[in-house]
Amino acid sequence: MNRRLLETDVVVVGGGVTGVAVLRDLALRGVDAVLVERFDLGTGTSGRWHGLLHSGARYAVRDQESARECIDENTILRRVAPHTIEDVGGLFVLLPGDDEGYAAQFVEGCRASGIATEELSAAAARRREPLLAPDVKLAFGVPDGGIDSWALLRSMAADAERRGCRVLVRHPVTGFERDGDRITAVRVHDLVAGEDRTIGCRWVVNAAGAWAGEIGRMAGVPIRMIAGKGVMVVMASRYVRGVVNACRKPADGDIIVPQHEVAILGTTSEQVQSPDDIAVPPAHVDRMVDMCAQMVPAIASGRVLRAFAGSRPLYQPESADGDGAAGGGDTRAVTRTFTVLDHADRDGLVNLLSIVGGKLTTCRQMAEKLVDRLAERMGVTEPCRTATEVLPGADHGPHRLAEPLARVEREAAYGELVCECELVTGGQVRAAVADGLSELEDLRRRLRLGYGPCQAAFCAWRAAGILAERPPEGSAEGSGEPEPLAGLERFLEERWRGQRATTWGDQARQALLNHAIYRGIFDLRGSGRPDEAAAANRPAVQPGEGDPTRRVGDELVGDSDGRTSSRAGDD
Amino acid sequence: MLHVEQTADRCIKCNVCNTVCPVSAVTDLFPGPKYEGPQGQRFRAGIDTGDSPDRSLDYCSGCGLCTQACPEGVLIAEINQVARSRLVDDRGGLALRENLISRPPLMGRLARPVAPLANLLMASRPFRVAVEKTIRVHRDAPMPRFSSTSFRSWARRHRPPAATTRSVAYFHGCAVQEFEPEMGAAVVRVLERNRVRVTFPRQGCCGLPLISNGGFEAGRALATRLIGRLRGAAGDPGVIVASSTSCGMTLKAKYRELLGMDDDATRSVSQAVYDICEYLVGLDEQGELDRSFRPLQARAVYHPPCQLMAHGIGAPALDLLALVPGLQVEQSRAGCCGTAGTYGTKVEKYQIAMDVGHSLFDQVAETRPDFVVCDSETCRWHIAKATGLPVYHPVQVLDRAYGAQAVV
Amino acid sequence: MPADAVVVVGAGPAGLAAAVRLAEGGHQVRLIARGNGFTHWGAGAVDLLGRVRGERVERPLEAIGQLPADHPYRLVGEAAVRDGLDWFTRFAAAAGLAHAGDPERNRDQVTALGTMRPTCLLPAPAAGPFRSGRVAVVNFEGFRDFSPALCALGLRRAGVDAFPATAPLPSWNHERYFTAVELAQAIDDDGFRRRLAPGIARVAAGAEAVLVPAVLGVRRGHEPWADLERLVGASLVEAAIPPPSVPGLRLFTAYRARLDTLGVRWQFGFPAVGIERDGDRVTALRSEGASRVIVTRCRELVLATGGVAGHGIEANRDGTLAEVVAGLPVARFADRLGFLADRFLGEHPLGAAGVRVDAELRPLHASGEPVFANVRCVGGLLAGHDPTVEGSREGVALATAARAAELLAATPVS
Repeated sequence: MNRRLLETDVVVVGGGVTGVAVLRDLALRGVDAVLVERFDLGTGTSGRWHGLLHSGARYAVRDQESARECIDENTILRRVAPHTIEDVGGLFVLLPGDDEGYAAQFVEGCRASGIATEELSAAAARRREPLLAPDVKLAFGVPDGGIDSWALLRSMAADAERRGCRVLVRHPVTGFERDGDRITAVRVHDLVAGEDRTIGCRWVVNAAGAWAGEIGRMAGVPIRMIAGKGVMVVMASRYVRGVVNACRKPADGDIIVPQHEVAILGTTSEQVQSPDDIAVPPAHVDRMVDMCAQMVPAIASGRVLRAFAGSRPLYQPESADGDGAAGGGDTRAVTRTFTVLDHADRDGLVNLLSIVGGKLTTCRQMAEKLVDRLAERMGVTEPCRTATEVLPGADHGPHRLAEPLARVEREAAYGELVCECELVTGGQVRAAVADGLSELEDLRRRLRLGYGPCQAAFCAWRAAGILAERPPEGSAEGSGEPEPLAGLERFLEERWRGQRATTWGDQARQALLNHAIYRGIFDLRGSGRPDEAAAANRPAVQPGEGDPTRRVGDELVGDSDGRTSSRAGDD
Repeated sequence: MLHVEQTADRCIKCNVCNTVCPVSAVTDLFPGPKYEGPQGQRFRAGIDTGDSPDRSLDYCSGCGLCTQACPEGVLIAEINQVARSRLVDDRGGLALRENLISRPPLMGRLARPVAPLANLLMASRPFRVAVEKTIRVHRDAPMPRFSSTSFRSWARRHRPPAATTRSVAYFHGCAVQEFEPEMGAAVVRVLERNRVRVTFPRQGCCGLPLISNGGFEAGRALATRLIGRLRGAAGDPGVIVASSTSCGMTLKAKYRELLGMDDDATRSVSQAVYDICEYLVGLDEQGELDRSFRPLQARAVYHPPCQLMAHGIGAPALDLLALVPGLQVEQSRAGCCGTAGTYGTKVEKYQIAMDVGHSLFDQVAETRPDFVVCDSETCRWHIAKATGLPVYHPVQVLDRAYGAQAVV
Repeated sequence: MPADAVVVVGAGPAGLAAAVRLAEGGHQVRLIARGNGFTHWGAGAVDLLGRVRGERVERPLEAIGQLPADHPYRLVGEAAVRDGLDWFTRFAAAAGLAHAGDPERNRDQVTALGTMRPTCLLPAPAAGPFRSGRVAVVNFEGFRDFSPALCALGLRRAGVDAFPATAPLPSWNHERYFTAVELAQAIDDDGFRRRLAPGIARVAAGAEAVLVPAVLGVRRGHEPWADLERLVGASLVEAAIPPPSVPGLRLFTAYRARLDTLGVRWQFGFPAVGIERDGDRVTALRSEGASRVIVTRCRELVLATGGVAGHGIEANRDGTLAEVVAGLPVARFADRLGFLADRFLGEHPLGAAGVRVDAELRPLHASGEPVFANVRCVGGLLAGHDPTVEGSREGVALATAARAAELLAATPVS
């Protein structure tokens, strides 16, 4: 069934920070636009990264263009989206064995890029970060911070929607309708309703990030993307007050980013076949822990909560200037500066623009450049205002770690906690449900439900209980009543996927307690498939092959990228 | 971050701690150890310590039952205590009330010359009402009786017996020194009966009341001084016995856990400390305890204080009391008597303390023993007030059973 | 503590039962535990054998015969299994906690999700009939850990005519915050029950049975439940909820009281960290104290420390496992990916990891020789079973505790 759902001026493909920033920029310039996203906002790279609000210092030595972009956008984001930011600063620490020459280049590079640095003695650095390794020699303070990409996405999307644009999640693009050298419509599939739809449009923006190549393929234009996978490890507690970087050439395990109550260790860099490859090899987890423990030794004996991977959206220009990814391995050498591709000149498709590369910190600027180009082509004269127009919620100010605790204390709301680890109340859950959220996954992204050390052990079923309070949709017979246990099982399996490579010690005890609750007390067994791995202590997978967290094709069961709903035979 | 704070990592949210907390059981002002301890801790570890929001934290009594029950080794009560100290720091130090009630040596020294008058005042209702309105110590909170003589003045005059086979240093604590010198005398008699020579090294307050109220810096000053004075005894005679089980606990573990004191002197002192009952049971295990107790035809309820259980030695008093012929001892089923040191004396916490102790008081009322036995002095005063019965340290019972005239 | 004591390590279902039974057998017993365990985390029933290879078991004693030879039930024998359950039934009944059921046949226990878990012995408050007729699924206002909508949904799918409702709570001192424990303590009070019952009766009107979360009293055995049932005038059935387990707490209280009466010494809150040995005999247990290791001499040692979940076995980052008290041999994994299944709700090899023992419950070397002459292992610490997956936690605890008591009764007490 194929209905023309909408007519609009611009369709933006991709619900990551780039796409949503584009949508917002268009909205502020009065352009009518619709964004389509295959799962939920932030389920691509924007939701699979370490959350660093770049000061740019990491690029100061080798890539000063990137560095300058970062610090400029860092400043702008603090102005327009402070509520998504943890204003905690960062350190670059010099450990014994690090190249002091690099440190000198670092300082010079920051200066040249306009990044303010502050040199700290070892003692001063440890006063700021009490858990720093005792053998840190020197440190440099930089204006790093933490940024919550989902909060940023929600804020930008809300702003765009209230100005008349639309965001359609769970609408993957299935193809384009072309008429000669123009795209006339975008074909999408509504995953929730299970229907195909068509959106008529005059312009298309491909902001699909790491998947830009796939969108390009559907449109008949070649875009060569390299998926630069990085693994990140989540520690169960925060360890650091601000960001801690190793002062050396970017390498594996050289950054610790505090994100709310946890610390994220990052990262690796490995070229993989597809951005859908989110498998986490245990050896990478070990490497992250060992490397980051050089900076903060307590991490070595700390509790690892989970690990995840995401692909950097690296663009390899068609012009073979040999600057592309050096065959296979380390993708750090590929430039991270973004590129706007105007397919009119490039490929003879006059109304498609793609935006590729870049990083989250510069998403606003990426959008500005792209929308400037598009506006010119469209004849829109409104200038870009995204650098000055604050986002909804900005008056809240930067996020402070103690804030959720302060709120619960102020309201004496301890009796209403649904997610105890993250201090999420029943009121918050009900408000989100009233707002249209109907999946535990959505609640997780919106409210951080299930993020804490118990990985949803207690909140999952409380939240499922609240969801079950809704009146059943549709008729009382047949498909009327919702499947709350299926949703609960799916959510638990999604939480599980991130834990397989990281479970030992405390987390193993947590996992078995959780199992004793859901399987032991509640007698939930999921699909009921017999599990061969249970036989005789055999490893469930051989390390390095057939990793179960790998997604294969369209099998997206219980994946953190969003719900697959109405497929027959869904388990 | 202290090691104590890092143990928050081990929490698996299993709720065991919430099942044993005596405070959250009786009031909804305290949301339980899991919320306050490992859960809240994750939100305190940031740079913005200036906005510690923890109002409910103040209701933690520090009894430590949660730490004991936790199967994962989270030092829950200790996490709360550290958080409280940061709260106190943020507010610029201890409030007047906490400052006053946390300094028993000060109160004792001031009152000693006028002890009978001081005791009269403490028993006078109008005076207590005035104290409640000004300092906010509850009018009905039990107060120890001031003594005209200090324990150390008794110790100075005391002549040790000739035939002793070993020596211990006695850490008597403020309660014995200022309020109950006769208790200290009983300790010495019992030890000497067992041919132990008792020395009285220069000491001082262990700082527990300050520490438990969050005054870590003031507590650290006292701790450092005390360690300095006891370090000699830790080497020779190598055993320091403590008759106040909470002060002994402080020396054994709290300096390390809460104040981060990890030097050789602190370590050697903490490893040399024995609770007096622990020490006597140790003698018995070597066959060296004088078991010639006279019969005591009496019934008693024994309440092991929560602070005693935190030593990890069980309740050695039970083994000792079992040696006294005729003495029938029933064990208390309560985990905490409610007072938790100075906690129960505060106007806003007194009723909570009474409610926490309720089941113990009921058990005593049902059992109708001749007396109650308990190793910790603040517990003794609290239980005595609530039940109207005499409450003794186990050593006082042994002292009587050895033939002493006084007290029991 | 005399040197001829029996030391039991662990205060979960197996440790508590073992300590009581050994003390009843005349031993001087000392119980050392790092904290509480599965008494506080279970469904509050006695699981004997709920599932084999994923299939529901109807006749557990019969099904035991089909278990592998190294399963704890096969090692201790059917007589020990029966004895364990019989003893428990009598012990619990004497403590005011009567249980329904028998080892020949499994029963269904209703859970807060409206599922039916297989179990063997059910405490009376959970054992009432409710499958026929209308069932009111009633939560207490403000209690977060029970969703009548979710439970009723599940029950309706199972063909039970269930409808959700919420009963108001009378005014009390925990309006701002309470958990299952505070609510259960309030329900211990008969005045509170009298004010509570009419609200339940009203919202459950028309129902033959009323399903509530398992919070009906904690310190007075089953009396609060029985009284409330009378006051409401309908069958009241407790549904299992996640931890804290109030029925488990009732049982724990009963165990503690019995231990005190028997003079068992209780050393709680600190982990056992090692042993002292003389040849193949353990002479003492070492446990953590506030500032020193505490040495407790023993003639016999019973380890009831639980598997990985109970903290009796540590699962290390490199895939190795370590038994934490005496370093007993435990099979390792190639790497840690082998610990867990690829599905959370699957079967995790780590859950079945444990110490191999002989028919006398003595831990074994890989060669099959006992490591010590005077050490027994009971409960979740044992290899060869996964108590969660097969639904056997309490049964294995009781059966192995029974066997341990029998074995040690044969040892002369000096």
